[in-house]
Amino acid sequence: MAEAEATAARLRLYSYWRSTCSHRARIALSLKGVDYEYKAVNLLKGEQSDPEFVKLNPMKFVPALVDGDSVIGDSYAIALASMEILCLLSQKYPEPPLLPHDLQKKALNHQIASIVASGIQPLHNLTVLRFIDQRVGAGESVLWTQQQIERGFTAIENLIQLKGCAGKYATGDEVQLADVFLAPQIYAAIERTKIDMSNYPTLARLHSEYMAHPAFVAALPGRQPDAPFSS
Amino acid sequence: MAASKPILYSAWISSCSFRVRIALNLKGVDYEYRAVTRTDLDYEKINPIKYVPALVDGDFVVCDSLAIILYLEDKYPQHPLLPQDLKKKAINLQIANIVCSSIQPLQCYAVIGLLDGKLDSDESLQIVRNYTDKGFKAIEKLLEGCDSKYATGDEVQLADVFLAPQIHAGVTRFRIDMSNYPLLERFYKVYMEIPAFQVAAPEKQPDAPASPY
Repeated sequence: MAEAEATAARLRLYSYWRSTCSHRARIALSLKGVDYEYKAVNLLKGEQSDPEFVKLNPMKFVPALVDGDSVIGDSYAIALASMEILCLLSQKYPEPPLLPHDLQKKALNHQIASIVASGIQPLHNLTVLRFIDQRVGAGESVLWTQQQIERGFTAIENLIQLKGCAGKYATGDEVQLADVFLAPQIYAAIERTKIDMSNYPTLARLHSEYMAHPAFVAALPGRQPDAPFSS
Repeated sequence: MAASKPILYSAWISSCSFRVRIALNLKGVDYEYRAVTRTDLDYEKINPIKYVPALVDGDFVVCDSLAIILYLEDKYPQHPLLPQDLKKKAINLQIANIVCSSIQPLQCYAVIGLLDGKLDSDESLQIVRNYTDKGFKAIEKLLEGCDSKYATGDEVQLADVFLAPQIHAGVTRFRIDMSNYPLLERFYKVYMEIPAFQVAAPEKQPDAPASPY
């Protein structure tokens, strides 16, 4: 893509205010100061099944990032691409990067991101919760969600303590990929699932750091155009 | 100083472990295989979430197949698995994540549910097929019109490393009808002709039983 086209390319982010995966993408873009047009997809109304959206993302998931003529329909891929996109737009490599240069620290960030993205969130997304409520009984999905989050949070808390890696943020004193994935999961756990965070002191502390960081605050569900009563 | 071989904690049937075994083989990295079972209580010290695989490289431990493979990608640049091109790289990551976040965890939930008596065999199979079908159909759509040898080109890349084990599990364990997914069916045939994939297959692992399926 020619440089002139790259700088003029308009980014569109398809997002649902409450989706933790969308929340990750919003944080990544907000951290890197990447401007985008917000396109709301109401999951409760089934807008993810609209033919136009299905063309963009056949998995019918948010987020999806449209960058010129290309579409990235996965929050992990979007987070990793956000650095390169900023590079293309601003002609310089963002510092600090979302991933550390040190191989071991980088791997740890991927491991934490993966625990959230593969080990916790997929087990409590809407389709799974509907299945649990139908199969086991109405309201059972609440207990199920709590169990999945507690299992994952125990593992992450233990991992961070084992590695002794936390600084101001999860893996040091700079915000990195792990934080992009942790922040939405912890926020949802506290606000929606009412998880008792006293068992996870590090995660609880990280939450207060995220809530004080402007880029994270801007990405919060309640701040999005499609949030009910948002200003 | 001679570097010791990395150690891979793995289970023969685990598709996540299969992915890492493929990546190690493609990059020509010799490793020590250590089998893990569900009842190994000590394994929690290696991986707090108790999943396989885990890679121990000297005194460094990394867990989760995507994290391990991206670590290998950095440490062993031979046979790169991620293209430089931004779009191609993104689609490889997207396909890998469809497999490792949207298919495999639900398959795992169904299999464990059956083992623990929380689901009956019909329900378990239905869950696996439902999520496999959704993910495979989406990948077919994403790759519509693909005429390259593998998913994103004529070299094996990250998407292929994640697809092969998922398709293999579908075919060998869950009677998935691959004729519904013509691109994936075509890729699978060529994957299983590659030595790095063959040697990594579940039934070839040291802990595989005599009659695996």
